[in-house]
Amino acid sequence: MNTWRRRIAKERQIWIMAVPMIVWVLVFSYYPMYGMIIAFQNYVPGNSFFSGDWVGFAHFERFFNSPDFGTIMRNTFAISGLNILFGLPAPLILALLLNELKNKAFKRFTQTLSYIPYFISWVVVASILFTLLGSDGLLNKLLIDFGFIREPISFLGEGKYFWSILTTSNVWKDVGFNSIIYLSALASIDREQIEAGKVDGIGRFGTVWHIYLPGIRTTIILLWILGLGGILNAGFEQQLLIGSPTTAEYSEVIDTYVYKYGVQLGYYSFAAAVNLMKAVVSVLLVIGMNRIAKKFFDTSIL
Amino acid sequence: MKKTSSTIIAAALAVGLLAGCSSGQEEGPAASPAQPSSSGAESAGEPNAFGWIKPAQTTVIDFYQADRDNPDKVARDTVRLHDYLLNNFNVDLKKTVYDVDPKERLNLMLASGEYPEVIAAMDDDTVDKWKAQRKIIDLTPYVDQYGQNIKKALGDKYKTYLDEDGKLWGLPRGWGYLPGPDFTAHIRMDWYEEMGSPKIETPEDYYEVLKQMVAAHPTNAQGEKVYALSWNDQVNINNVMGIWGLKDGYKEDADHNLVHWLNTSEGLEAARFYNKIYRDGLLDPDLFINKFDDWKTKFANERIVGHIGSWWHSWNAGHEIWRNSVPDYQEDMRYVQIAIKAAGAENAYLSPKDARGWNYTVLTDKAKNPEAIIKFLDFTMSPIGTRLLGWGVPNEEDSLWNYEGDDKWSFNEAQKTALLDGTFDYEKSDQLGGNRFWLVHGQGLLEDDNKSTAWYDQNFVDEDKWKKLMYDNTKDTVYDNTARRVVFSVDNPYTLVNQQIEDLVKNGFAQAVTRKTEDEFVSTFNELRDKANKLGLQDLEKYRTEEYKKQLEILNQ
Repeated sequence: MNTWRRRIAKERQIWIMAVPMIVWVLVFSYYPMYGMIIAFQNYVPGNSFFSGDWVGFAHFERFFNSPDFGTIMRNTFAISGLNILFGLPAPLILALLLNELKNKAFKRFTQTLSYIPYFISWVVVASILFTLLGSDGLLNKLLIDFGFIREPISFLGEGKYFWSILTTSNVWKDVGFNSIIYLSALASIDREQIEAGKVDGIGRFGTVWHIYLPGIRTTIILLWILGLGGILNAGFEQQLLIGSPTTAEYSEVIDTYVYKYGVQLGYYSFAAAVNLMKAVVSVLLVIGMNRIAKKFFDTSIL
Repeated sequence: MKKTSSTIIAAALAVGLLAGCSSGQEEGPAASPAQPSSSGAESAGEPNAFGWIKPAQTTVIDFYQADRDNPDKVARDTVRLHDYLLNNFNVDLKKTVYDVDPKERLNLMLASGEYPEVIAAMDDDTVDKWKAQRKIIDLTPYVDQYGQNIKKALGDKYKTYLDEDGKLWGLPRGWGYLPGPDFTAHIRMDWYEEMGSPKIETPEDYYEVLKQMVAAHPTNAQGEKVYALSWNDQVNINNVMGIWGLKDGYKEDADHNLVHWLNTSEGLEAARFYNKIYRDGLLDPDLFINKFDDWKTKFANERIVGHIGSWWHSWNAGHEIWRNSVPDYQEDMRYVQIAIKAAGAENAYLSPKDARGWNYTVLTDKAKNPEAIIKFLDFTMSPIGTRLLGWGVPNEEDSLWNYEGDDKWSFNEAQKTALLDGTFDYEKSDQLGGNRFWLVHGQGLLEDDNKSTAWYDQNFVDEDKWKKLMYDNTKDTVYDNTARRVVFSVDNPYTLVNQQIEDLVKNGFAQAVTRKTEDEFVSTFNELRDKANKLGLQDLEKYRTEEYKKQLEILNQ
């Protein structure tokens, strides 16, 4: 007890900063969790959380048995998978490239330029995509003018292009912002190692492969674990804004399905059940990935 | 020093967070502004020019309208009528709207217990939910005592709004039958006359004319490709099916059994019609991506020659823009609304009308003075009350109408001329408050003259050349759809099936129409039909039929 008191007294500034955050998390993240009980009831807004009819796992069964379940899960895994496949390496590559820039002003300018898409809302991004990829859009005009095609391609109207468009726009939007964490990890690498590498004549690619990547391995694995943990979060706004009836077969994911058949129809219990399922799966995935990372790479976040 | 300063900063952060957690008032969506002035209470107890006895105490009606709307625009558009009502009626009418999904908003209100005295635009399902939780009050005793105009206006239909216990929980809004078209085919007048005004009776005739128009005008002034037809997110497939004789998407036999268009040959033909245009390269390839604004831009740029959709679409996107933007604008450079009917169809059923009303206005358990509120709502249901709330502030220079008292009124000739000339300023006239406080008045023809209606611009059909043409062309396409109304509430077992089928149909129709060969089209259509039946479409048909037959019995009593 005395040790604790002494420790808290010594670290009081950190505790003063941390305690409000801890309280905030407890009040706004943990305390409301009891509301998850509505996932097992037929909840009616206005009633108490404990007064609804108990239905057990009926809402979960309804989701798993829904006729669109296969399509929804396929789309969710496909979109998330592509986002992980391209969205995890892209900021790393950008960070490595930025790290090689010697001209500081140009480096700062490029970095700033790469962040800007992150702050553009999906509504604006959707408008940009319609302007670029519509049948009268810039891309079709260029392809027709250069003789590659004779008739415009309905990129936004055909489902087969949907995943590519979404992944590309996701990567474009997030690559700059997500590279920050890699840049800060690269900055923490011991300069002596890099100098030693130069002396050994390993060259730029060698430096990347033998020094930078191993040096930021922990960060890479951490983000990979978190990325895989969120595999069931394939987006919502993007699908609502960019999707259309002709691409619905490829754009419907868990979150859009829950919004349509849960929130909009007033089936809050159903929406809560699916979100609870997603949260449980995400936690299990994070724990699982963490164990794998610990076993094979001796790195973990838990 | 560093430790001290960092401790101070940390403490400031903690205090700042706590201050931010205070339960402040929610930031206002704008309600009607203006504090009640004292002038409203003057001459209390005496009837005003409308015959309304001004109460000694100001009647405050603070209502939330459950429609997604722009609070700033609503505030701007309601201030004049609010002040007029306050000064002349001693009624302080305040409207609140939010630019969010109204269902979610209402659920939040129910869950939090924070809601106003009056809520407008509540649908059947929500009324049931609020009634079950005793959050709204039974209006029957108040209407029995103060609702003479309400009962007179609703007539025999009044009893259809009572529940199984004979209680009234909500007063209908937008009820009544307005015999004007909503949904039509559209043809461009000047190009049609150039072609010699060929006969257009069937969808094939219509397409033939559109094809010729595209052949004569293959690109617009900017060199962009022109298409015969397109689509936007406000076009309803069920209305399109009306061209093939189906009412609101269903085929009805002599015994009133309903069959969904997917299970009919007419539905196949309707989808085939669009697919043919697509395969001919004359259907806008982005038709199912278009939001209304995208479609409007293309239409205004003369890239789409025809339209099947709401009558006002081609007005809004056509001549109302061209008369200001085209230097040598001629009057015939506009679209005319016509009816088209498939060969073999009994009739073109394009515009379903639900005379029961759009939704309801309810009084919640927080209403402090329900008698006063009902008295005012009763007034608004009278013909002159409907005119006041429908047409806005009278007797001012820019008013739409004038009121002299003793039920004597007239239209403002200058505004009427502007409407007929096509120079009417809709934006400015909105600020007179017309139809901005739509609590309970109807939209049908008013009982005192059987001619005027709350919709100002629908009052001069006989004098407006183009409206008259539209009404004459489409008069047989409007039908009463009240009996087919079905409420898909949360506890209705068909709600989910209905939503799944609607989504499947919307997506499947789009896919079928955009198939590149006829065989693929037929195969996709059949697949769609089979999927829908597997989901429960035939059960849904049976359910709708049962509800329809029940409603017919009630309405025929």
